[in-house]
Amino acid sequence: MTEIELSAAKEVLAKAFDLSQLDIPEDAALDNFEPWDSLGHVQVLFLVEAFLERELETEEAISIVDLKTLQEALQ
Amino acid sequence: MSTEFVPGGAVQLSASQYQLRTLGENDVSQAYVDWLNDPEVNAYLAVRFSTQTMESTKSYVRGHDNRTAFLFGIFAEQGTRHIGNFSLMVKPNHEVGILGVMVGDKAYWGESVVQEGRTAILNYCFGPLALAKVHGACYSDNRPAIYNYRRQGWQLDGIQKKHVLSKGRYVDMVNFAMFKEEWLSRND
Repeated sequence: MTEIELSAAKEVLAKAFDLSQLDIPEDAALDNFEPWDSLGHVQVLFLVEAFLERELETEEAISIVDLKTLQEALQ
Repeated sequence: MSTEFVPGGAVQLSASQYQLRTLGENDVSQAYVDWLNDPEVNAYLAVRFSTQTMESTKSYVRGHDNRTAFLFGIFAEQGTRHIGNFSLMVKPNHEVGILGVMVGDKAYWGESVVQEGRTAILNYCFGPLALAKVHGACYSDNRPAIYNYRRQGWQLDGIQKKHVLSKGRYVDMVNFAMFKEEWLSRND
């Protein structure tokens, strides 16, 4: 993961949870990062779609479970 | 009420903040009926296609025999406040359960109700009921539901493309599965 890609993924989470990028841990995942709740997840997917300027396929939406898979979805 | 499987007998399970127990006709309240008719609550439920009444709801509750059809009420505030239901249909010949959930009380949306309740029910499914697999499903536009399945480690069990009409659009039905060995290994 490059710094730019990591930064984009962290920025999505930071915006979704109203946090600073510095508050997003490298291992952030929906089962270990407290701010990542169900309503926050809706916002994460909305921001990914805004970034990509298209609707996510179901398979893509399901794949996003942590910072790494979020970064992959942003590519 | 029992935490074990007694065919036909009522069941009571404890989730950390909630109680789950077999729902009876006496638990059917106007608030429960109102949930079923609320477009926000029933947006992803089949009940939205017809108006529900006290009698239709009691009839639905009576349709659960605690043998292959279970209906668990979810109760908050030390078991005094009915906030939703889990339904569990069991196919004993295949050792498969089909699990559904409705949280009707909007005060509990975004809380841990589904996660905690499902944990208790999965323990019951893979323990006393000796099931091998539990199946769940949601519409692809129900993203909080997708979150709940994924957060709990359910595996994708197939996507039925453009399978249902939701809010005027054809959307996918997303199937999830939890297998006994996976659940037990996660909870060792």
